[in-house]
Amino acid sequence: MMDEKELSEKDKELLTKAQEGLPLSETPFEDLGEELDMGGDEVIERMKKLKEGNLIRRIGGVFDSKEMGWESTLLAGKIREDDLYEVAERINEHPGVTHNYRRDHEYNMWFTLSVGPDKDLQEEIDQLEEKTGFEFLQLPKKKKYKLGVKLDLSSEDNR
Amino acid sequence: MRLDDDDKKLISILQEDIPLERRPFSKVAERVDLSEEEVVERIRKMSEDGVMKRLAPLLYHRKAGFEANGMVVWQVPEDREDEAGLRLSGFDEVSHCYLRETGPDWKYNLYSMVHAESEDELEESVEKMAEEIEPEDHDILRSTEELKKTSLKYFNSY
Repeated sequence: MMDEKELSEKDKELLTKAQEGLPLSETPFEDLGEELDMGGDEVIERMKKLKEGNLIRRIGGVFDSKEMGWESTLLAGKIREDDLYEVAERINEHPGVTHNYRRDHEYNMWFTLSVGPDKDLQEEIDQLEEKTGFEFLQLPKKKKYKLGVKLDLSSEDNR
Repeated sequence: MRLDDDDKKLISILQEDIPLERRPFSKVAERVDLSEEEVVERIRKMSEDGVMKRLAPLLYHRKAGFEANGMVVWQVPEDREDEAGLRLSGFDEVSHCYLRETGPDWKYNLYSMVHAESEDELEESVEKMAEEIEPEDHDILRSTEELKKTSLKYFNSY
């Protein structure tokens, strides 16, 4: 596995710029390279290496689920230890459950549920409650103050 | 924006990897049965309308040396929640910060994911944050097991 420290200055510049978004043209890598004084082939070669080195997970689209009519919420449950894995299995079966963590709290199971525009969120929650025999605390998001961090790899002191 | 079947198919393809080639969308175009030009046109439209936030490399979340992580929940009075949320966001140790609804037996309204190099450091960071935002109460919930982690597939059936 590649480490951030193994990155050359050029790789860092490339990643920092590319994370803002590739130009939306027929030749996105070439056009990105132009902004960095790098040829299109070099951009592609470097990105291939960064993917092989397991630094880049995916190069693709990031979508706004709300814009597409998706609804989601965080849910938490107090699940009896003996039932935990069976309940987890039933919950995780749902394709809209993307994250599920066991936590060291009375509310010991925390998961997110998202449903598309053709489904009703509350109905899906009701079904999960029926399927598992547990009630879940519904904690929908009201506001986002900070969402993830894009790594600024262009300067050494920023880690 | 109204998404037609071609858009949906395009989205499900763009949720994978685009080919690392000089003209990546010509391959994409073959799969959706559109011209390369039309694919680029649709992608631009999705970007302009906010459906697609960006087309970009996504990195593995790996914080070298950050071993202790916690979801820290805070109870902050309504008239101070924005201020507290913004202050928490100012900490480098915080990667995510949200305001959420409360529940019948759940009074915490602010959530922050905090990353630290050790358990001691995590608690120290949280103490520092608590001093700054002066919550009525707070708690650290550590994850003890990952039961599921995947990404959402929007239009998988296409």
